[in-house]
Amino acid sequence: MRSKKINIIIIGAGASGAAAAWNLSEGENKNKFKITCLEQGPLLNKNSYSFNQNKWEIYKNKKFHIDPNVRKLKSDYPINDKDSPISISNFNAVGGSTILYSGHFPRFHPSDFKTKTLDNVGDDWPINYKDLEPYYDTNDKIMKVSGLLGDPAYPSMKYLFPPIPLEPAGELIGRSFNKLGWHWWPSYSALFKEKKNRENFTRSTVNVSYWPEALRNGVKLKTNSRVIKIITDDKKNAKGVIYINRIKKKKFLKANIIILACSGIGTPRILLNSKNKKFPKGLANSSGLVGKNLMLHPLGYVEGKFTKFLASFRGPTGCCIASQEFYETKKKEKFKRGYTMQILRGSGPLETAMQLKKFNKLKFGKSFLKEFFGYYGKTISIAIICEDLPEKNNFVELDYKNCDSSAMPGLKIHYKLSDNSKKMLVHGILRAKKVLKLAGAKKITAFGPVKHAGWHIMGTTKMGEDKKKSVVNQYGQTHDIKNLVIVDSSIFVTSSGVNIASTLQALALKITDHIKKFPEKYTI
Amino acid sequence: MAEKKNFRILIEGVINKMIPSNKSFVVTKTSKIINTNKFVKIVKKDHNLKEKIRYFSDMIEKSKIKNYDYFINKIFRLKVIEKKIETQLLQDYFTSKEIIRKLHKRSDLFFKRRKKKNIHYLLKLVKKGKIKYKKL
Repeated sequence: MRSKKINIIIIGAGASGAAAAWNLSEGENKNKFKITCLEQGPLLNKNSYSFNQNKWEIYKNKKFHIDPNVRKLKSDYPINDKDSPISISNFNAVGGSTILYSGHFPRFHPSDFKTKTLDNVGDDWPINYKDLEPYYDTNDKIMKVSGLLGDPAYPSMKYLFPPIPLEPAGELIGRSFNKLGWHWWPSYSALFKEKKNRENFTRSTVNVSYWPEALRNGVKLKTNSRVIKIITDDKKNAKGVIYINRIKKKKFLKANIIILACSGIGTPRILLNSKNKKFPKGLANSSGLVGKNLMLHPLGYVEGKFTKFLASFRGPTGCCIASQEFYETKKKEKFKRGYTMQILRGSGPLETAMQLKKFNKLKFGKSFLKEFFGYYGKTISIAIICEDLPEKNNFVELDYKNCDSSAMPGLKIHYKLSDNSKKMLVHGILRAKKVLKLAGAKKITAFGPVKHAGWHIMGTTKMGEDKKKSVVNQYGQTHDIKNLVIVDSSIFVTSSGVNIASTLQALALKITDHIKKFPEKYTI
Repeated sequence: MAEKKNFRILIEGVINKMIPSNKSFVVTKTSKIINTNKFVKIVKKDHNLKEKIRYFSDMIEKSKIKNYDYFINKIFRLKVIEKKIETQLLQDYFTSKEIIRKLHKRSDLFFKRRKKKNIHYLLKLVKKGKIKYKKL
C-alpha cells in the first residue's frame, strides 16, 4: 500500500521559499511530500527585469520601483512608513526581492551569532556559524556565487566562481584601503555569465537558480495567489490556508505542514491577520513578539567625485569591493558591533543625469554634455551598511486603514534609529570620506540614513529556545503551533552588518533538511 | 497645416537647443536620435503650453522671413517647454541606442589603453589587509 503523502504549503516564492521548495523536493525523502507554493505575485519573464537592457534605467523608476508604495502593483500591499526614517524596499513576485537585488552575497560572520556573549548586546542565536556552514556552501554553489578565496575576515569557503573584475574604480579604492592598512576584499556576488551572453553578467535570482529545478522535481507553484489567513483547528494546529486566487476567488487549501517564507514584514502580517478565538493575538504570538524587534540595516551613503575618467559604471550594478575593517566591536569606539563599507559601481547614464538635474548640477543648453561628462564615470560611492540591534519599540502592526487589492490590511512600520546606529553611521561616513579623499576625490558628499534602503527586514518572529522570549525554535518551528514553520529573515535574532540573502537561504536549507529528516516532529 | 509644421519645427528646435550636438561626442542632432512625436503630443496636451507655442507659430506665419531660429531661441530662453519635457527627454536620450552605443564606444576606447589584469594581480593587490575574523 502506498503511504499517504505529507501536504506542505510554502507561502512565498522568494529567496527563502525557493530554497525551501527545492530542498524539500530533493533527495531520498522527496516522495514523502506533496509541495505547493503560493505566491501573491506573478512569474515574470527573466528578460523583463534584466539590468542589462537599455531601458532598465526607466523601468526601475516605474513598474520595477523598489518602493511598493510607489509601484502599487496588484501584488503589492500598502506599507505605512511615515513613522520610520527608512522605508521598505521589496518586490512581490516569484523570485521576491531577488528580482531587484544586485546579487551582493556575503555571509554572516561567526561573531554575528553570539553578540550577547561577545558584546552584551542583542541576543545569541540558538545556532552558530558552523551549523550553517554546509548550507552556506550548498547555497553558494546553487546561487553561483563568485568571489575570491582567502578572505581573512571569514572562515574559509568552498565553492566560489572566479571573482568579478575590479575595474579601475575598484582598484583605485583598493589601493586607498591598502594605504590605510584597512581590510578590503572583492565582493561576493551572485552573478554569472550565461553561454549566450558572454558580455554581461546575469544576476542569479532564485528564478534561474532554485525554481527551475524545484518545478522539475514536481513542486506546484500557484502564482497570483495571496494567502490572507492561516486556519487552525480545535487542537490549535494549522490545518490550511485561505488565499485569493488570480480571479479574486477565495479558496481553501489543506496542509499538514505550513511554511512561511514571506519576508520580515509579510510573515508577521499573515500571522497577525490570522488571529482567531484560540489565538486572539495572532498565530504563534503567545510571546507577544510577532512583529516586534524589527531590524533594518541603516545605510550611509558617501560619494566622491574624481577629475579623471574611471569608467566607474563599468561592470554589473552593485557592490564591487567590501571592507570589514570596522565590522567587530572595538573597545575604543562609542558603539557596539559594526558595519561593512561597500564600494559601489557607478550609476548608468540616465541615473547620473537625473541625479545631477535634481541637484541643479546639470543645465540644458550649450554646456549640457560637458557638465554630464564632468560626472559620468567619474564618481565612486561607498555605502555603509550598519548592524541594527533588536529593539521592541521597533515593530510592525496591521494597518486596517490601508488595505491591499484583496482587502487584506496593510502594514504600519514603527521604527527609530538607535543611538548605537547613529554613532555607527557617523563613524562609517567619516571613514568612507577618508578612503575617498586618499583615493583622490575632489568633492565628497554624504548623507544617511538613506530613505529607500529597507531591503533587509529582520527579527519580527525571532528565533530562540525560550518560548516566552521568541517565536520559533532553531528549526524554524513556531513554539505555539507544531506544524507551522518560518524560514525567512523574520526569524533572525540579530541583523549582522551584511546583506542577508545568503544567510536566509542557508537557514531555509537547514530548516527544511530537518523537516525532511524528521517529518513526524512537524506533523500531527 | 502650417501650424502643425511650425509646431514640430519649434519643438524639435528647442529639443536640439536643450541637448545640443557635440563634435567630440555625438554629431547627430538630438531630434534625430529620439522620437520627437511624443514631445509634440506632450506639449499639445497642455492647454497653456499649446497656446504659447501657437502664439509663436502665428508670429512666424505673420512675418515675411520665417526666422525659426529666433523663435526657437526665444522659447528656449523662456524655458516654457523645458519643465514639461525634461524627464522624458533625459529618459529617451540616455536610453536611445545611438547614445548607448556612443557611450560604450567611449569607455571601450578607455579600456583599450589599459592592460588586462588577471587574478594574480588581484591577489597581490588585496592581500595587504590585516584583519582576521573572530574565531569562537
